[in-house]
Amino acid sequence: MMDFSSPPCLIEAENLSFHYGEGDLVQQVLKNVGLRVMSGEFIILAGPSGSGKSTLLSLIGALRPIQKGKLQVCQYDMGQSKASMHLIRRQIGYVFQQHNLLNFLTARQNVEMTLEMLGDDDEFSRKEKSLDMLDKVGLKKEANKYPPELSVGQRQRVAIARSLVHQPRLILADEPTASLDGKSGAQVVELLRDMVKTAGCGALVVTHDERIFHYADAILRIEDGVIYGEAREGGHNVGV
Amino acid sequence: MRRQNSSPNTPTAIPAGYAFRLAWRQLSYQKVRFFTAVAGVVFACILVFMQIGFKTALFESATLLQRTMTGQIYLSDVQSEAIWRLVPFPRKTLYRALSVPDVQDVSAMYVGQAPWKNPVTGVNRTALILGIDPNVDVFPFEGLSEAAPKLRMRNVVLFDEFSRPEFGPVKQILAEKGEFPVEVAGRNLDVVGTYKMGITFSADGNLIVNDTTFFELFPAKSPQGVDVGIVKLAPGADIQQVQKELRDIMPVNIKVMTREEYVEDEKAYWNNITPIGYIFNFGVIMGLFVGLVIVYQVLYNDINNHMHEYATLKAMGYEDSYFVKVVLSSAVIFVVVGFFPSWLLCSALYKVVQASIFIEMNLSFEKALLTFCLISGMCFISALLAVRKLKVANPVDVFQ
Ligand SMILES: Nc1ncnc2c1ncn2[C@@H]1O[C@H](COP(=O)(O)OP(=O)(O)OP(=O)(O)O)[C@@H](O)[C@H]1O
Ligand SMILES: [Mg+2]
Repeated sequence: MMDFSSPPCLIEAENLSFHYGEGDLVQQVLKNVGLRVMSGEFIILAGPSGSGKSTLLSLIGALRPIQKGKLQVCQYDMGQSKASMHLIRRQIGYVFQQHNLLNFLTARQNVEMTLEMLGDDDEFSRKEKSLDMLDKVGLKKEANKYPPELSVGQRQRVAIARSLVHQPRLILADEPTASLDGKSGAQVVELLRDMVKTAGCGALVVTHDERIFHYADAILRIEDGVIYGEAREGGHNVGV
Repeated sequence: MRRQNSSPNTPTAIPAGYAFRLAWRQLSYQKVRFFTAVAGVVFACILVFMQIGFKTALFESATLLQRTMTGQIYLSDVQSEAIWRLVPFPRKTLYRALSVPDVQDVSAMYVGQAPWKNPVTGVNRTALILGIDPNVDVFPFEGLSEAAPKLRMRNVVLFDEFSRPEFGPVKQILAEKGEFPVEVAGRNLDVVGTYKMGITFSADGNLIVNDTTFFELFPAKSPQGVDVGIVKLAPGADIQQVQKELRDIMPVNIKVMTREEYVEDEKAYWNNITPIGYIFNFGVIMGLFVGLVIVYQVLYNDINNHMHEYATLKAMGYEDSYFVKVVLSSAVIFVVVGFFPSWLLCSALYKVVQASIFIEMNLSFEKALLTFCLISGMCFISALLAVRKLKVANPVDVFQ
C-alpha cells in the first residue's frame, strides 16, 4: 500500500555503480551504492578525497549518464534519454565549490539567468525574485555590483542565490564552504538548511568541513565507492 | 502566460532575445576588445566596398562605349579583342547586312589612339579617337548632338570634357577664345566643341572626328576596313531573329553581337586577358579573410574565457543551443555595428576616389547589399568555427 503521509523521495539510488576508463585502465569509483533522500532532509556526504563523492553528485545531478543500477531523481528515471537530462537539471539547485559567475553580469543579472532559463518572461517579477533571493543571502546592497567587485565569499553567496532562486525541490552542493572562512561558511550552510526546513526541499551536501556537520539530519560516509549510513532521528537509514 | 517552474516534460525554449542580450552584455563589457573586433569588421567592409567599387567602376568605364552606342547589333572581326585592339573587316561585309529585311541602317565606327598635345603645356597624352559618320547618330553623349553639325567640316575635332586634366583646359579656352587649333597625331585640327563621355580603360581622354579626318590622322588605316559595324534595326524587329539571320550571311570571321554580348565581350577581355578582375577579387577575399580571423579570434576567446561559466550554466539546465544563439548573436552584433558605419564611410570614400581617378564610383544599393551579404557570411562562418569550441564546455568539469 502506498503511504501518502510520508514525504516524497527526491533521490533514490539502488545498486548504483560507476567506473571511469575502459579495459585495463578501468577504475571502479562507485560500488553498488544505495541512497535515499527525502523532502525536508538535509543530508551531508563526507569521505576522503577520491572516494567518489563528486562522481556520485554528478550522476544525481544528471551531469553524466548512469552506467549500472537504478537512479531516480525527483521521481524521474535517470539515464534513459540524454535529451531530458537538461530538464532534470532544471529541477535541481546546484551549488558548486567554485562560483563561476559571469563577470559581465551584475549579481542580480547572474541570479536572473536561472529564471530566464525557466521561462519567467516577466521582467519585473524576475527582478523582484532575484532581489529577494539576494536579500536572503545578505547581498541586497551588492545587487548591482559585478562579481570582480565582490569578495570571494560574497561571490559564492551570489552563486547560491542563483542556484536557489527558483526554489528547486532538490539542492546539491559540492563543498560549498571550501573557499569560505568559518563565518561565511556557516552562513551559507545555515541558508541551505533554512531553505530545506522552510521550503520543504531536500539537500545533499558534500563536505570535508567538520564544523558544519552538526547542521545535518544525517551524515553519510563514503569510502572507496561504498556508502556507510548513519542512523538519524526519523529512524530510517539513508544509506541502504 | 507564465511558463515558470515548468515540469521537466514540457521543455521551455529560452527566447532568442535573452541570448542576444547576453551576447551584447558580454561584448560591451570589454569595450577595447569589442572595438578591436568592430575595427576588424570595418576594415573588411571597407576593403570589400572599395574593391567591389573599383572593379565595377573600371568595368563600367571599360564598357562605356559599348553601353552607350546606338544600334542593336554590332559586328566586329573575331580577332578584335578590345576597343583599343580592333582588327578591321571589309566594308562590303558590313553592307551585306542591309540584305536582311529588318535591318534599317548600318554605319561604321573607326577607333584609333594617337597623341594629343596639351594646348597649354605642349605635353603629349594618348587619346582615344573615334571616327564616325557625322550624319549618323552613333552616340547619345550629352552635348554631342549640338556639336555634331560642326563635325561635318574637315580637320575639326570634338573634345570630351571628362578627359583627364592633363589634356588641358580645353572647355575654358573654347569659352574664352572660341575655336582654337590643337595638334593631334602631328596634324593641326580645330577644336570646335565639347561633349561629355568619360574616360575608359583604353585612354585618359577621348576625341571624336569625322571619318574623313580620321583617315587623315591614321594614314596607315584603309577606308575599306571597318573597325566596328553598327546595325540599326527597324522598330519592333526581333533582335535575336535578326542576329541569327545576320550570322547566316556573315563570314565566319565576323562576330555578330547584341549589345549585352558586346558589353560582355569587352568585359571578358579585361577580366581574362588582364589580371584586373583577379586582383580585385583577391582584394575582396583578403579583406574577408582578415575580418574572419579577427572575428573568430574574439568569438573563440569569449567562449574559451567563459568555459567554466558556460559549463555551470549547462549544469543548471541551459542547453547547447542557447550558447550557439549567444555566439551567433555576437556575430550579428559585429555585422550591424561594423557594416553600417562602413557604408557611410565608404559613400564618402567613393567620392574622394572618384575625384582622383576621374572614373565614376557609384555606391549603389546593390553593392551595399552584396557587401552586407559577404560580411554577414564572413561573421557567420567565424561564429560557426568558434561554436565548435562550445562542445568542450562540459558540465561535469565544474565538479572536478
Ligand atoms: N573524469 C574522470 N576521469 C577519470 N577518472 C576520474 C574522473 N573524475 C574522477 N576520477 C577518479 O575517480 C575517483 C573519484 O573521484 P571524485 O572526484 O568522485 O572524488 P571525490 O570524492 O569528489 O574527491 P575530492 O574530495 O578530492 O573532491 C578518483 O580516483 C578520481 O581520480
Ligand atoms: Mg570532489
